[in-house]
Amino acid sequence: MFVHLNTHSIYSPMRGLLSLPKLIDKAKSHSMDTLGLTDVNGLWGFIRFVQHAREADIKPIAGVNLITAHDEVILLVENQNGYENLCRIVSVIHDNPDQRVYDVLEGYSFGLFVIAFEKHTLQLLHRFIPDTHLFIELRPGFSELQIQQLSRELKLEIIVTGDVYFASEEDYTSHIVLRAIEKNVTLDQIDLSQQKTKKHWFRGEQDMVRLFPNSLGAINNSRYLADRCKTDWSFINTIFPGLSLKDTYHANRKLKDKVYIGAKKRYGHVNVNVQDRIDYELGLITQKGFAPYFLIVQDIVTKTQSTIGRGSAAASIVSYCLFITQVDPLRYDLQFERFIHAERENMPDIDIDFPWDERDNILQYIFKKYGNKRTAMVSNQVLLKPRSAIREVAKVYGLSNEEINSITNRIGWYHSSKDLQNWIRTDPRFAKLDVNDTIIRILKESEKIIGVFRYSSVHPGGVLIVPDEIRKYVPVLTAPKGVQIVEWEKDQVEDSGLLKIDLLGNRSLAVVRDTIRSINIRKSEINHKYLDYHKIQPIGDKKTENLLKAGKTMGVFYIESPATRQLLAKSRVVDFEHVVIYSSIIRPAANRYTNLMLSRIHGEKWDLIHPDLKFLNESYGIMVYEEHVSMAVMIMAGLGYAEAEQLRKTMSRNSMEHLIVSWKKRFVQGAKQRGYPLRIIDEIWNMIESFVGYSFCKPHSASYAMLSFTCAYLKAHFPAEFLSSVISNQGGFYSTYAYMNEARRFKIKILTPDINESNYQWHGQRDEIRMGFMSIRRLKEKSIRLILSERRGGKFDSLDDFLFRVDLDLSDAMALTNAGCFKSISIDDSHQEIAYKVAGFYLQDTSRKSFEPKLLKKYLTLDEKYQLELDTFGFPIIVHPAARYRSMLSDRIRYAKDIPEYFGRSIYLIGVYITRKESITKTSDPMEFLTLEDETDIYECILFPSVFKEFGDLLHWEKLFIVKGKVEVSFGVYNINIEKIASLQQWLNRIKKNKSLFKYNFD
Amino acid sequence: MVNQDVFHIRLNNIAIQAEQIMDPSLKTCSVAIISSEDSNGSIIALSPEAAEEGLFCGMKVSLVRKIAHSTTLLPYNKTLYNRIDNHIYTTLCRYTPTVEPNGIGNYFLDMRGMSALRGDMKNTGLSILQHIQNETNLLGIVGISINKLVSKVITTVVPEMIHKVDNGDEKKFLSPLKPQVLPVVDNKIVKRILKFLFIQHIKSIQDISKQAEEFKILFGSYADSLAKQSNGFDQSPVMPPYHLDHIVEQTILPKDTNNETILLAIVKDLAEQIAFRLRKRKQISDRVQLEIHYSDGYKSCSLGKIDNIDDFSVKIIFKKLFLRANKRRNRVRAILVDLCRLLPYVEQINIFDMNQYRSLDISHSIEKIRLKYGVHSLQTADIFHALGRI
Repeated sequence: MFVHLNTHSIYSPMRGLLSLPKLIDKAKSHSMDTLGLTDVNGLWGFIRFVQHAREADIKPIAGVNLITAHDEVILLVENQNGYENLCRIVSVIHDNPDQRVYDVLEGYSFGLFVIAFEKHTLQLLHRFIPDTHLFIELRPGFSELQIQQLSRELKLEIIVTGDVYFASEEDYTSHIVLRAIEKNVTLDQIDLSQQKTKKHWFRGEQDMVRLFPNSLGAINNSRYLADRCKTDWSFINTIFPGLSLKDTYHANRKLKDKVYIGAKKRYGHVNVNVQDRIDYELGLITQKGFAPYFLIVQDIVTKTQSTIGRGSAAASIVSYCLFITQVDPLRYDLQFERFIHAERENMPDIDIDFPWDERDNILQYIFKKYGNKRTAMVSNQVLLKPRSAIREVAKVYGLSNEEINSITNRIGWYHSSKDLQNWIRTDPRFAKLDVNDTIIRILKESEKIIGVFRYSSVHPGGVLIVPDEIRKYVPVLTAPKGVQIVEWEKDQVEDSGLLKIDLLGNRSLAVVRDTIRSINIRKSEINHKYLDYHKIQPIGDKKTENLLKAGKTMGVFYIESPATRQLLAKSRVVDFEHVVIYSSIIRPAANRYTNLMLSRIHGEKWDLIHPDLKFLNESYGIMVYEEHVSMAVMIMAGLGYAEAEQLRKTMSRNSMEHLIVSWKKRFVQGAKQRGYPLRIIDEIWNMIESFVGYSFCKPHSASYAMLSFTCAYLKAHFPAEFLSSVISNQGGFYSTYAYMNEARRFKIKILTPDINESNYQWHGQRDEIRMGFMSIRRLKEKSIRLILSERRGGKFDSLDDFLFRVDLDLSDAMALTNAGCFKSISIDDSHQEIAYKVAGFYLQDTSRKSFEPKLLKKYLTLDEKYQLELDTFGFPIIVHPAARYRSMLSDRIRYAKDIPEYFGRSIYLIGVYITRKESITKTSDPMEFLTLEDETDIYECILFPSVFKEFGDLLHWEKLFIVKGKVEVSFGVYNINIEKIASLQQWLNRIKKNKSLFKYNFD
Repeated sequence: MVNQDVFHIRLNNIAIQAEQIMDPSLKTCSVAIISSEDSNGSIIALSPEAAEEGLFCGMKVSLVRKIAHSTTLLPYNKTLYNRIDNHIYTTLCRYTPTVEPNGIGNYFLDMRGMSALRGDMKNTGLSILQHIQNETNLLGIVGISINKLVSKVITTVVPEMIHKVDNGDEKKFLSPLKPQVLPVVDNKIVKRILKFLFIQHIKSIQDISKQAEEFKILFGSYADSLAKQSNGFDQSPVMPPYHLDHIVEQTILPKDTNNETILLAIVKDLAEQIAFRLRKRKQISDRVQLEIHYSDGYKSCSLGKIDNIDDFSVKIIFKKLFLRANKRRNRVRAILVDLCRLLPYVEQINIFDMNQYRSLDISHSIEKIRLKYGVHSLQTADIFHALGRI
């Protein structure tokens, strides 16, 4: 009869150890049909809980363990009003945890059952909560006798709870480790009297009876109470953002008008095709009542010039005409049904990208217009991943940062293995790691806490707007950034029926904007022909195509990674349709299909896997888009639209990965029934599986491809303007140094910062790029603004002129001097003289006067300049790092430009690290793709498993390499298959020691 | 005028040399002194052969075992090194009454007026080195100059066995050297400005220091010491230990740990040792500095003073200082206490707290046992247990 009404999952921040599936499994294993989840001060995982519980046929009860600075109670939901009140209560506690439960509950207790154990709290609550809704809690660690006395005294019934935090007693240490992490102390510093004891594990009914043998009635009470709680949860009704236009009719009219105005701008003449499509889409939109949503999104989009609508919304002509998306769905054959379908119950999100530096203003506008009461951002739930778990536990055990990094640097960011001990002992990446007893203990504890909810932050773009009060749907809190966020992350928000708008910051949109601005400034001086973002026509442009064919796309949105650059160069077919395909097929699990497609592009004969799957003709018989998955399962297994949509959702979410097996079963059974051969079923399912965790729909890829083309067009025609904008907007795939060298490969001269010529950002014009002040380390933004503001009054004539006009602190002046900013206004002075003048001037307390150096006139050597640049910018400008070593090296070390001459042979090269990507082979052995660069070119290397095993560790700490490898070619693109790789510096040290500079054999 | 000759004698790598004396077979081997055999221990000192193998001070023992199989790892033998250090100190005292120890294996000797007695100072220096070598087999180098600063710089930069800088040549000797050899350059501000001005030799400092006003602007309150040091001026006297007025005790943990129970036991042990020495000297300290050295190289310290010299009072103060200083979760490698400004302990009857006398009586009783059977013959249970655990 016992029902657990007080259990904590991993969503009790840094307390609970039970994941939701594990919690449900535990309940199931004890034959419980109902379960209450009462995480501490939140409903962080409530939607997930309901989903998992339903899958296991368990009735889910919503609740919260409310812990304030003063008291603690358990709240359980009786009905929908109770749920709304619970959300409000939790929000109030998030606002201020230093409140009495009594004060918080007074206005919101309706529809809630309250269980407490402190006499004083119970007495206060009893004033306004009836006996039928207020109970005394008997939890592990409490005396039955005392609780029974309290019950008699207050005339309230007792409910036995498990107050569960972990699965078994053995997990207690992990619970304490979590508390130590939370409190930032070591294990022996934690005050155990303030923590839970070993007793808080998940017990079955018999264990509960053993624990409380004299409270059988109270144990049974848990069942009676559970039966009175709400368990029939439904989240189907989509909540639309309200608009001031309450009448749907008006919204529909307004939308129609706006769409036709936009259509005229987009198409000039609205022909029958366009009109038919608009009418069809508007019909579905108005029928489903989505018009207000479109109007809100359109209103937001008008706040800035360059935006790009992503996701399935790009399949809509309505979105295109409202300037929400930028791809013409008619021209590129994008199916509206992927966005809105007659059978689709819920409304899909519209995702819009804004230039990253304009997004905050847009959000401010939304919050101002709709208010905090109706608006909140989606949260990002930060869970402990293998890296963070090891880092945090290691800190508890007192490891230094270096020791921690030696482990975590070897773990990929997205690695999700939970079997850390075994993994670290067997994986070659950890071969050189010293695994001692302490590390083993740390790994053991880390394994147990992976997945625990740590804290919530702001999701980069999800915004919720509700018609009435956000706090009645979901608890809200204020993120450290000052923004109101809901407790749920995007997937739970979507599953709860709340409609979000995704407004993401996109750096490439800012790059395009800034490039166009730079070009237009120059054009305004020449011919007044300005470039317009909406009017750029990159498709079909020869120069753009040539750039794409050569794979010279560093800096180009979405297709700049080494893998995509190589794919473009290998295929040499770069029309819009193909780039859309490439944008989708570059997925971690789809490597083999990429090579298959390349062969087919280059003429290999192929047949459709089955005549029914004609839609695959557009992508060489390979499944590329999410639509392909949906269509394949509908055709082959006979699934309906809604089911296919559910499968798509399952594949795109990590949290639902466990359901893939059952979907496979359904697909195979359905396809078999329809008479498809097993070989084809397997092959199709293998393709479908490659979509798990990472996939796109065609409209989304088309939208992104359009932006890629725009960027490529700008790079091909205006490389200096484009690459300087890429560097200025930061955050690209490569480092500033890599982009700077890419500019040099485009014959662009890099000019160091200058006090009269530089701006905050990098600035490109024609064949020159002037570095911006932003690249000078230790130079404060405030000082840059001060310099630029002073310069508006006229350029600086001399160093003295600058010193007297700009009041800086010494560290800023030092940074400017070391960056060489004063060279142009102090031509006759050496670096040392300038430094002396600057230091002398700014170190004077009052009545500053010029400081004349009398004895210092040292000119810097090349090596000193190199070191100074490294210190000032973080990278050298005067000479390529590889070039510095040439004179010390044998002629056997070749240049990257010579690679094609060595096809099929071994070559020795040196190179600076640009980027790398870890991958695994079919047999799950780790390997690495490495991009290096010397003074002549950039080149790609591969470390296959055996080489990676021997030399891979080096990549964690070295940036300058000497390599020996075989030159191989694939579809006309050269790669180095590395045989040996070493640290160049270490190798040179060994040469020096052996005193056989040229005789030394790298072999 | 009598030459104020100051010798600085440096016995490089005394720990390694000491071990090689004990076991001559180690002389050409790769040797490293480690804090403990435990994998969490680290290298404290190493022979040149070990350095060539890529080992360095602070390297983890576990890593050493992996990358240098041929290196002999020896535990840190504090007693041996102290014994040798004391013996050398006694030897040096035969040459002059004023010898100042400057860390293990480093000594300043005030040889003022000794030339009349012992003849040429260079020969005297060589005799001292020869004497040390004959008695202990340890090799040393000696720097001779007019002051401590220059003598110490000599043994830092000159590899020869003996080098003398004649009176008046200090400036010339220092001018080609890097500014980093001057103690004042350890200061962050001075270091930063010198780096910015690209001053790479002391000569440049000597030159610009002539422009006193400008030099003062550039280096502020450090200008005076920098100018003096760069020109080889140093007036600090050679101070024998009893005038140095410092009591220093240090425990290097054989195994890095952040276990507070163990650390507190070590602090308690240090407190007992210090209290014992203070009672012997009948002194209290107006300035106690407790330093915690962490395994990642960071150091944290806190300051206090000692008014009572019974074990109980000193333990309370040390515990307070330790808890104040230990704000990190990193594992601790060493704990050091440094007492200075030592003042005479004057007993004044405390009519409000008689417990103080009880504590002092207990301390005296314990002392009697320790004097008879050795310092560690009597330990409190927690110290015994904690030290046993590491």
